[in-house]
Amino acid sequence: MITASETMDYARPSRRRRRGGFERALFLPAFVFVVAVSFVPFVYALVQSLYRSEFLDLGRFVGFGNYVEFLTDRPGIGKTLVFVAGTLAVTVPLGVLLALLLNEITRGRELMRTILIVPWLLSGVVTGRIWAWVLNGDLGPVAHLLQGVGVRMPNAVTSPVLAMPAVIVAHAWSAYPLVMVLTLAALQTIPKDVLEAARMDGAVGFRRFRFIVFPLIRNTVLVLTVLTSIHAFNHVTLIFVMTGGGPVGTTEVMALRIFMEGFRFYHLGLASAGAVMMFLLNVAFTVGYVRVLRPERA
Amino acid sequence: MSRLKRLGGVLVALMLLLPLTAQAQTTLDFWSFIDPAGDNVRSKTLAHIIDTFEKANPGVKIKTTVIQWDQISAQLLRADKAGAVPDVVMLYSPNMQTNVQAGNLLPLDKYMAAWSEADRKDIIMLSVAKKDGKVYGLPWELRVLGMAYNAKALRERSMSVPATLDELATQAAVFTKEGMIGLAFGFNPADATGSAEWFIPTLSGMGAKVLNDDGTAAFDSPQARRLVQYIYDLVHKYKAVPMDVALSGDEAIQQLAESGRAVFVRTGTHRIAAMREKSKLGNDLQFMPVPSFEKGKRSPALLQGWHAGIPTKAKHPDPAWKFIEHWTSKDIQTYQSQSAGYLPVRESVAKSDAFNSPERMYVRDAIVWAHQDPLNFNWPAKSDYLINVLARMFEQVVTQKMQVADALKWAEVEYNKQVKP
Amino acid sequence: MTHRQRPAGLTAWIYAILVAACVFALVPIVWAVSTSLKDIAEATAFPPTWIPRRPTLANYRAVLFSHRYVHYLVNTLLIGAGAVALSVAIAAPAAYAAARGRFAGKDSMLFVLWATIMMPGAAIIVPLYLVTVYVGLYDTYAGLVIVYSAAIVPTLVWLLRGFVQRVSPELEQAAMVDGCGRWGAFWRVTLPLIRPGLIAGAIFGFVTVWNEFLIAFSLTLRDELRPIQVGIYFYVTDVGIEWGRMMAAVIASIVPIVVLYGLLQQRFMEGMTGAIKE
Repeated sequence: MITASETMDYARPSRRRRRGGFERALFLPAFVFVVAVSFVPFVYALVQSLYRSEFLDLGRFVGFGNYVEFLTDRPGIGKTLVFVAGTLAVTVPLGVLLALLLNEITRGRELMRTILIVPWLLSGVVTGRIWAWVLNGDLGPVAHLLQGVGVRMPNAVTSPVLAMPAVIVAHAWSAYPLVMVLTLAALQTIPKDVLEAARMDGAVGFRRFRFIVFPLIRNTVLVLTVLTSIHAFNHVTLIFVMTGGGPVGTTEVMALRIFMEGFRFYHLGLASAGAVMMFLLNVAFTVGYVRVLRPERA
Repeated sequence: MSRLKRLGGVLVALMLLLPLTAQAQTTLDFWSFIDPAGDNVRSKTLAHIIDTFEKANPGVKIKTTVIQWDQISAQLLRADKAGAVPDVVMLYSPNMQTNVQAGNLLPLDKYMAAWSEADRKDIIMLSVAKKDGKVYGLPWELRVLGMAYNAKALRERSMSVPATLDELATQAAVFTKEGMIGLAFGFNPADATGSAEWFIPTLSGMGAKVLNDDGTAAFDSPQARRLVQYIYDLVHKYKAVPMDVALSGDEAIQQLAESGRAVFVRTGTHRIAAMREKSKLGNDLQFMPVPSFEKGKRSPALLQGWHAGIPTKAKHPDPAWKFIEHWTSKDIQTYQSQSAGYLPVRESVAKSDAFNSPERMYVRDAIVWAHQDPLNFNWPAKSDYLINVLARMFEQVVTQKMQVADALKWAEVEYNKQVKP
Repeated sequence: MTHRQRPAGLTAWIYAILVAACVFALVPIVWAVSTSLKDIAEATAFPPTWIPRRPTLANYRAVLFSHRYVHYLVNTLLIGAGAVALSVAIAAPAAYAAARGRFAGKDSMLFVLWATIMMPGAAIIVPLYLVTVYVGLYDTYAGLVIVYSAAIVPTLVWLLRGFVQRVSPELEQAAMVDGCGRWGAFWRVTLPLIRPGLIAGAIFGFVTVWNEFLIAFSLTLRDELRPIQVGIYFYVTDVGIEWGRMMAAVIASIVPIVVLYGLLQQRFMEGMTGAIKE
């Protein structure tokens, strides 16, 4: 039986520790469960990466041989950077712009926001299949349009020149809605009186954006930029479905390369080495982002 | 009292017999890439084959697990280590040796010994299913790889069937210039089996080897250089193949033929029926052997086939054999080729009248070609990797990233990396 | 809404850009739907038409009545429901603990938990495959449910924590005064009050599983338990790529998600923006 006075009594250490114990018991299952599924395989990968494995045989111990082999033969780092940079260049400005515009209007805002979010609801497989078809060089509407102005468009997903832009566009198409929605949410938390005060002071239009609005949403935009880049860095599905890494490996980003080595060729040791490196890069990314963000938090 | 005892005795006897009858029911685990419950012609054909087997063998049921065709081999290798293998498995030619050499498959000789000699000779065996004189799988269907062409389009331009590879190139170029796709050849590593199935026999016909006896690559030969240069010329000199088609995979180029936009395409006998129907060309879509560089001489016919094998650790090998026996029997082979257009695996069936009709003539012609100029290619254990390396090499040549000679040398080094650990 | 002077021209531009963006968002989908309603000849005709001249439902019939496709949908439903149930069961108490609790290591554990959201799929999928093979969960429903739950829980904890924080602790204490234990208070007071969060979380989890490909592809083999995205990926008819059928298969798989979103977007948006405010 717990009396009211006891529940309010934070000063009694024994009670506090027991409260902590109850919550910890509630929390631990989630923690243990998630960590087990996320980190245990990683330990496996660390071990496997030191062996030359095929299928399920551990194979011969090769130390860092797999790492060297991965890095010297099509590591895909350059292509990954291009993909990430390209995605960011489209996704973040587009998402932020649309959020700003949506924030300005009342009529039709709900409808347009609903429409603009739709690309984000679609899976990578669906997006890849649809865009491959839209950019089809023989039968697609884009090709048709270009033919009207006298340009013959080759099939995007088999063109060494167009493949990377094609996957970037498709990925940006599916990624901008999230940036848009979260930026819009941030915009809507800007207190109205701040905006009023700015208007009173004569700050309108672009000045208002630059000096009032942007600083207030900067954190959100920064977080979104980092999240978008991490997501693009790690992304496999869309590229896998659209181009399979081709043609001639022009879209074989690092994440995809690892996946192919593992699941097409079953070079599990090599794939594990790549996986470990990817994980480390992600950690570096995250640490960097926390460092960049923390000063602003004050 | 004694009646009770008798009743008791009967009950005990029944209880002893019951397990015996229960045991008579065996379920065979069958891995297939064709779904017997599907509604297309191949599925229905397989369903009929399973059905007739079950009726002829009461007490045996077949449970089919459907797996993607290009995953079955890898799965079998994995399953073998875990002991979770099926009783009957489908394997395509290039993957047979991988599994034979891994020791996954049961030799079938002891079962075949029960057949008559004539019967044994009647089966068209491929060397990929054999090792050290033992047989590890029987084909349940066969196909000849070659080319198909739009006879109507040729007729309209008073062209005859090209007799050499160069003629093929120039004829195709005429069509490509007009906006069609004269020749649909593609070399995308993601879907490259067909490209290897074209390259290897054509190269062999020129007298060159693909692999040395020790399994290492022998890609860099004068003949290979000529053939790869030909591929380059198709895109850049003759302009018979548009660049993006040259970088497409098997499925994509088959689709070009099916939509009627390609005039010449590399393909196999197993796709002709569907191609005819979808392109609406009917018998105007003809099958042809692959020409060579010399007039009057054709390239060899590559005979490939899906095999049925019994994994070493299978739980019910004897009934599994019965199923394979049923599948490769004369009656079923005749039925199968009629129903779904497969090439039969028995000589006797191949020689029969079944292939005299205008629709099926191409099968007979293909079989004749396969008899006169066969290439029984010994796919190595690392055939998936071989196919991938070759396709990547073609890609580099076609996109002008590498010169022909350099590309072949590169491919040799690349392939040997995996062969010599 | 503030009554501000804004030049009419600017308003027109704003709408123009937004409408253009809507077009960009919808055109690929419209094109896919259009193709899905065309017969074979028209689907591969050039020049392409936007409105089918001979619209047909044949593609949808072929796709939906192929028992395989429906089978994939059912698989995904089962796996999704299972994963959502498991994750909510694990995440809700954890979210409560994260919001209310004070115990050693809470912040660091939370950080680690949330850090796993950024664990790259590509990095983890190969070893995950190996582990599931070794523990016998490869190619099983259970394996998928477990892996998906582990992927969903961190985000759910983040989402639900925000909701729990908005429930006044006095309500829980009142319940405890009335005789519930701490667990009872959580179960009877907190949980019902965070229902919008639970719904948003369930939707998020379900959509995540529905749309997920990499794990589904890598951890399943047999056609029997194949989820829908893998089914679409492998959807090639018996004789090759038929774009009309392919688009029908694709569109059929997004209809449930789009409908779900349309009906529940209000709730879902609340949930998302609510969590953001933290």
